[in-house]
Amino acid sequence: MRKLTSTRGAQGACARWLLALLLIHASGCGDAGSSAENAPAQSAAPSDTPLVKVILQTDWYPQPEHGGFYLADLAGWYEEVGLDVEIRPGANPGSIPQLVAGNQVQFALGTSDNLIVARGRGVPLIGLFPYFQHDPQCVMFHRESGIRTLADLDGRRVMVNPGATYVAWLQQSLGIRLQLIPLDYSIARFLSDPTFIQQCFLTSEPWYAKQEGIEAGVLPLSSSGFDPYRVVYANADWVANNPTHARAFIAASLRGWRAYADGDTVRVHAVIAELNPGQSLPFMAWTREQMAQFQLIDGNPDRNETLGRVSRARVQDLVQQLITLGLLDSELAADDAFALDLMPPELVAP
Amino acid sequence: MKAAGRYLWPILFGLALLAMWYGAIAIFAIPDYQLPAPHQIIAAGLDERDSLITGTLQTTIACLVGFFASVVGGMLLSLLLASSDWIFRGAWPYILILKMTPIIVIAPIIILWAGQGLVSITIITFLVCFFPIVANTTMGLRSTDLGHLDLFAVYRATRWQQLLWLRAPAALPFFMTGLRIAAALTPIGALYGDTVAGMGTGNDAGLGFLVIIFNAQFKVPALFAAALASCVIGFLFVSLVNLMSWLALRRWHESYLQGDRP
Repeated sequence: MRKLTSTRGAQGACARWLLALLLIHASGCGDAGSSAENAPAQSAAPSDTPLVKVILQTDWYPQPEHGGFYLADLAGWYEEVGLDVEIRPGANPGSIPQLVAGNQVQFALGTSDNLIVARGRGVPLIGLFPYFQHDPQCVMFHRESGIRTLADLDGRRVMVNPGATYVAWLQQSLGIRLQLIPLDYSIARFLSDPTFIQQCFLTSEPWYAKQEGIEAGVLPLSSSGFDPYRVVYANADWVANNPTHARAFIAASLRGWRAYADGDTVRVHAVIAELNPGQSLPFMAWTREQMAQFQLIDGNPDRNETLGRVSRARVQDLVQQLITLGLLDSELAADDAFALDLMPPELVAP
Repeated sequence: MKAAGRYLWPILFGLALLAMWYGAIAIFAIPDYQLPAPHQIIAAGLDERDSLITGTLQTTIACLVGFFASVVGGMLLSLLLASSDWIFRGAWPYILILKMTPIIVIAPIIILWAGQGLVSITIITFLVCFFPIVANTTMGLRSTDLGHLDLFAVYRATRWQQLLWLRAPAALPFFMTGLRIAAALTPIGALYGDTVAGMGTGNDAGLGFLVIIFNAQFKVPALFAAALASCVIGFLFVSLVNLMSWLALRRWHESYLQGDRP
C-alpha cells in the first residue's frame, strides 16, 4: 500500500488524496465514527512532527491474515499516532527473526513459542501483543484417510516444517512417530495423492482444495494442548528506546484488528487483492469466516480470551512445555517474553 | 625440517584464525546467535552428536551413490558423444538445455516421479554432479592432439583402438577436472535434496533436514556444527578424487611430473 503511493512522487500525493476521499466515502459502510475522526488528523500530522518510519515484516504475501495491519495503515491509524509503517510482505519465514534481531525491521509476525525459544537463546526479541489468540496452523488430510484425531497421524507421512515446535510436541506428548516431509508451501501433492497429509493454515489451503473439489479434513494443531499465540514481536532494544512508539504501534494495530473483526473489510480486501493477485474477494471472505469460526482473532470468551489479550498463565504453560521439549533451558517469566507494560492493562490477564 | 614446515605453517595459520575469531567476538561483542565461539560449536556438536552422525551418514550415502552414478553415467554419455560427430551435434544442445535448468526447478518434478526420500535425493545429487563431468570429459575426448590422430591413422588403428589407446588417456586430465568440480558440488546436491526431498522423524534425517530444524529452533551453534559436518563430506569427496587422479595421472601427466621437479 505505502510502497504504491510513496514511490511515485507527485502522482503519489494525488493518489493519497484520492484514497483519503475514498476512505471517507467508504467509511459509510464500515466503522463510520473512527474514520470521520481521522480525516483531520491525517492532514494535520505531517506538518507538526515528522512520522517515525518503522517496518512491519509479515510472514507471507499480503493476505487477510494480516487484515488488521493493512486496515490500520489504510485508515491512517498509524499516522494518527505518529508512525509511518511500511508493511513488508515476506515469504522466507525462517530468516525473519534474524532481521528483527539486527533491527533491519522493527516488528514482525510469528508464534509465541518461537519467540520464547529465541528469547531463551539470548536473541534480543520481545513480544508486543497477540493478534491471533490461537495459531491457524493445522493438519489437512483427505476425508477417506480415516483420520479423526491427531493421534491417528502415528506412522504416517506428514508434510510439515520439520523445525516446527508442534512436530516435537506431537511426537513427545502423544507418543507417536511421524514420517516428516519438508513443507514446500504447495498443495500440488495433496491434490493428487489421497493419502497425503500436510501442515497448512486453517484459513488458506483448505480453500484451494475446495476449489479442486476436495472437502479436506482439518485438525487445528492448537487442539494438541500446545497452544501458542500468534504475535507481533519486535527488536527488544528498539522497544526499550522507543516505548512510546511501541505503545502507539500496539494501540493502532489493535484498533485495526478490532475494526477488521467487526466487519470493516471491504476496503482492506480491495487493497490486499491489488497487492496480491492470488487473493480473490470470495477467498478472503471465506478466510475471514474461518478466522471467526476457529476464534482466532477474538479467542474463546469462555476462557477469558479476547483480541490482544496475553494471559500470564498461558505463557507459563508454554514455557513449561518448551522446557519439557528441551527447547528452553530455564524458566522465563511472561514479563521477560512480552513487553506487558506497554499493553493496555485490561489486556494483561493473570 | 621440510615436513615440519609443511604442517607447522597451516597449524600456525589456523591458530591465528582462531585468535581472530575469539578476538572479533570479544571486540565487537558479537552475540552467540550470530557467531558462536568455536568451543560452543564443538559443545553443540557433541550435544547433537547422535543426530549429526546419523545425518552425516545418510547424506554421505546419498553423496556416494549420486556421485558414482554421475561418474559412470557421465563417462558413458561422453564416450557416446565422442563416438560420432552426428550424435554430438544432435544431442549437445539438448544436454545444454538440461544443464541450464536450475536444479531448484527440476527438484519438484523429480520428487513427483521418484517420490519422497533417498532415491530423489540421490537423483538430485546425480544431476548436480553429472554435467560438469560430461562437459569436461566430452571436451577432452574431442580435443585429442591432431598429430597423434594422424599417427594412429597412418598405422591403420581401428576406431576402438583409437578410443582406447589415444582419446581416452588424453581425456583423462579433463575427466579428472570434471570429477573435481563434481566432488565439490556433491554435498550441495545432497543437502539441497534433503531440504526438499528428505524424510525422517526429526532426529534420524539427513544433514539438510537437520539444518532446517536447527535454524527453526535458533540452534545456531548446532547449525555451525552441521556446516562443519557437511564440510567434512566435501573434503572426503575431493580427497577421493585427488587420490583417483594421482593414481591415474602421476606416471605420465605434466601436472604431476612438473610438481616433482626440484
